[in-house]
Amino acid sequence: MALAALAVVLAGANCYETLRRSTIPSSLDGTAEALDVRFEKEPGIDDVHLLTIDGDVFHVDARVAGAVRPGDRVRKDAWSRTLLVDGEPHRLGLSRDAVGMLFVMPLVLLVVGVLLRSRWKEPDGPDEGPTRATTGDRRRSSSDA
Amino acid sequence: MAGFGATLALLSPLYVLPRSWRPWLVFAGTVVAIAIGWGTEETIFELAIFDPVDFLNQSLGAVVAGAIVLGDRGRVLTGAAVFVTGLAIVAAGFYFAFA
Repeated sequence: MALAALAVVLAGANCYETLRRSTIPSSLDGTAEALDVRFEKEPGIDDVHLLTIDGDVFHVDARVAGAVRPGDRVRKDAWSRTLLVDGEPHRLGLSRDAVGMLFVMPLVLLVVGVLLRSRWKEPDGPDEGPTRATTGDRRRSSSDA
Repeated sequence: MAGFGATLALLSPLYVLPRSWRPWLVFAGTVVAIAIGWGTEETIFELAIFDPVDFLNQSLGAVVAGAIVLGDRGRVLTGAAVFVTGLAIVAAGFYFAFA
């Protein structure tokens, strides 16, 4: 049960973290001060975009990073899908990572659930199951003799 | 893959213990594996930044490994196979990540 709860927390956090990079859950109001791009294992594919707005650093996805430049005035309400950059609206969406996560995480939870359920369905038998069977066989064969 | 494989290897010694001891030891071992994963993500695997998604993915791999060991009815030989399989998965993870 503890493992199942841990899996749910981790999967939920994973979905939320990728969703957060779209800035959709966030409320923003300030001036973009810097946009820092850092490279991971595959440059151009898994780059990290760090957007600084009034001193706060946001890890954003490539779509948001492409819409904002340092010096821009940025504004949006929490859970709104519209980002205003210098008054110009930009439609926000989920990144490929976020969409993938929303599909994969339920599958991971399903796998964990099936694995744990198979354990709960089995009665907790003796630790040495096969050894016992052998002993039983031996007994039977000795009584047969 | 690294979180899954390394946790399989880490939990494989539990196969020598009575199965009734496993539930909490597996949970504790999984939590230890997740903590080690946090440490490696903060240090040797921190490429651009500490990436929570990488950490969460490897932690979920650890939980899947824990669920497998928890439900497995095998004994010492299975434990040895789980250890070797775990190391092979870690090696494959490194290969696909950095090759």
